[in-house]
Amino acid sequence: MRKLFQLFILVLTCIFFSCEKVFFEEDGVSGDPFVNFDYLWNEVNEKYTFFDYKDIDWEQSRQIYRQKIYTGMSSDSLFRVLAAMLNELEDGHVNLISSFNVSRYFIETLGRDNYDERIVNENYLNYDFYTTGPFRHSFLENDQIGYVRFSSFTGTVTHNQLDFMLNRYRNTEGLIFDIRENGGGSSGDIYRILAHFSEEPTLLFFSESKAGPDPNTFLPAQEVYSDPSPVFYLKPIVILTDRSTYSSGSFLTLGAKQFANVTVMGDTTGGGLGVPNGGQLPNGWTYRFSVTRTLDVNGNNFENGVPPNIYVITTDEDRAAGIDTILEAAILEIL
Amino acid sequence: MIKSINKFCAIVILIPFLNTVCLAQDSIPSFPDIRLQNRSYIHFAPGADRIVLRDFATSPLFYRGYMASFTLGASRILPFRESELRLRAGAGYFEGVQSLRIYTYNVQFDHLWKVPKFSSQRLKTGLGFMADVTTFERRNLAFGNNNYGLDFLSTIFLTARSEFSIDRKSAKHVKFWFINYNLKPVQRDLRLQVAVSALNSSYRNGFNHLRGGAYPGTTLITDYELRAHSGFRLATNLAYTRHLRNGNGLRLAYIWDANSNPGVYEKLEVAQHTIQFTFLFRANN
Repeated sequence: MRKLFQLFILVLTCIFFSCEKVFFEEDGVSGDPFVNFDYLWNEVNEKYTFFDYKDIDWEQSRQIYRQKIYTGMSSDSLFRVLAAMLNELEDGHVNLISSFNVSRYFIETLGRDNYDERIVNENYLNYDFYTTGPFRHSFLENDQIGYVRFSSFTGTVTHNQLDFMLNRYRNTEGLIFDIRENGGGSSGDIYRILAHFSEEPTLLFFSESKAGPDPNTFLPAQEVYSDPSPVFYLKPIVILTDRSTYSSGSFLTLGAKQFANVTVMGDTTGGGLGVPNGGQLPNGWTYRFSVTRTLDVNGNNFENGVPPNIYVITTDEDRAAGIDTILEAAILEIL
Repeated sequence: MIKSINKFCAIVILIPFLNTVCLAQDSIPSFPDIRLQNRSYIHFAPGADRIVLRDFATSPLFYRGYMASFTLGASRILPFRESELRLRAGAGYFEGVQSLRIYTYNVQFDHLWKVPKFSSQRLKTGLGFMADVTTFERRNLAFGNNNYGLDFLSTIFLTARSEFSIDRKSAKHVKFWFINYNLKPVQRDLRLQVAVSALNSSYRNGFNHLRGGAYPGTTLITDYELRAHSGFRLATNLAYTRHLRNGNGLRLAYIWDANSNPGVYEKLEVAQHTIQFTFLFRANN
């Protein structure tokens, strides 16, 4: 009896050490280029949110690029094919990441360069500015205007920084908030900044998250409101944008347009109003692409860029003369 | 200060042995059969875990890693029924992924009734249920906005346990090569518990598996979905227990727990292999 019981336990133990293989599907690891191609194509097909909006025929992309896949192709060749397929989405939120390369779609190519940091620093700020956290700021036009340069959503914006700046410029006629060439970053910064642009909660936009593989299956729209801070600025605010204002920059622009005292000036933003996910291919490479969409309060989708209230672009003549055309127009708008 | 802490730890670890060492000098080594007594124990159990995890929402690949865990528990054993409560926490990492960390928190309660038909003087068999709530918290920075996973899993198991006494009734003299030594009488158990899920539920991220809380007014679990009565889980526990003369005990266990949680696009599969060493402190006389 005792020996039987011990044998029984020994057999069970041996089984249980490898038993999960019975319950789990096989490990999906694979270096097969066809497996990886199909996996990536399918993930995008089921989760990407802008096929209809961008009028993209993703099935056609599959046919075009799968022909370029062959057994035994190098990792570099596979990477280039997959990256080229992803760039058909023309989306700055789309990347393929391997140990040797990162693919990207350059949204800067959508429009001309509208910002020259040296012109602003030399001819407008005279290299005399405060640096408060990620913000660079100073007075313009004999202290009548406050100028705030915000180049990246670093995730380090705090209400204390914004309180300090807005108190410093509380006696100005208006504020210029320059987010040209701001490629985005941490979304938390968006709402901390917008909290200081009004004194009441304001509906900024709607966010919709994909709920299934069908192209038009979304969870109920999430209303996104501003959460006002005790220190706010109600005088005119001009936000400067260009085609390189992307992702969080576009979110901030879209939300700020709901405030009566805000004017957006410059070029259309680069877009990027979908939140990108993150995932992994069977060969270990990772990827990301947008899996949500954002609609303004009227239900409009501005994924390809949030248009300005006043369209202004920098001219070659002004640039040669050291003049920032958009900044000049913003100064005129306030004064 | 550090010396004091070390001294305290050493005393705590040695407590179960202390009485044994003293009593080893007694001339009469026998002690009453504890299986006939109503017993209560407090458990302290450090463990080392091997974990295998795959979340199809972000990857088709298995991640394999190691965890250190600690379990605090209490049990009450009566002649015809017994129950045990365990609180467990663990932290670990996965091989080859520096940025990936995993934490697990677990509450488990089981209650078993003795089945006389399958029990004898040396074999005790019980049937009952086990309730389990497990949380996995994961971070993998390589997955961008999907870098955070917080999964709540709950299971009601049907469970069976057989405990076989392998006592040494009398002293025994052993010679191993040139080493001679005496083995004293001892009470020991070998037990196997198998638990099969009857009700398995999960509360996890939805289709996109995006980290929540990105917008004002949303929380981490805004997009979470409850999947009730789905999935499958199997757990086994093979344990060797040595009862000490002072009523305390030492237990070495191998625990295996496999969990397959469904989801059309975001299936979660987790298996844990745990080697656990338990200090059992008698809480009643």
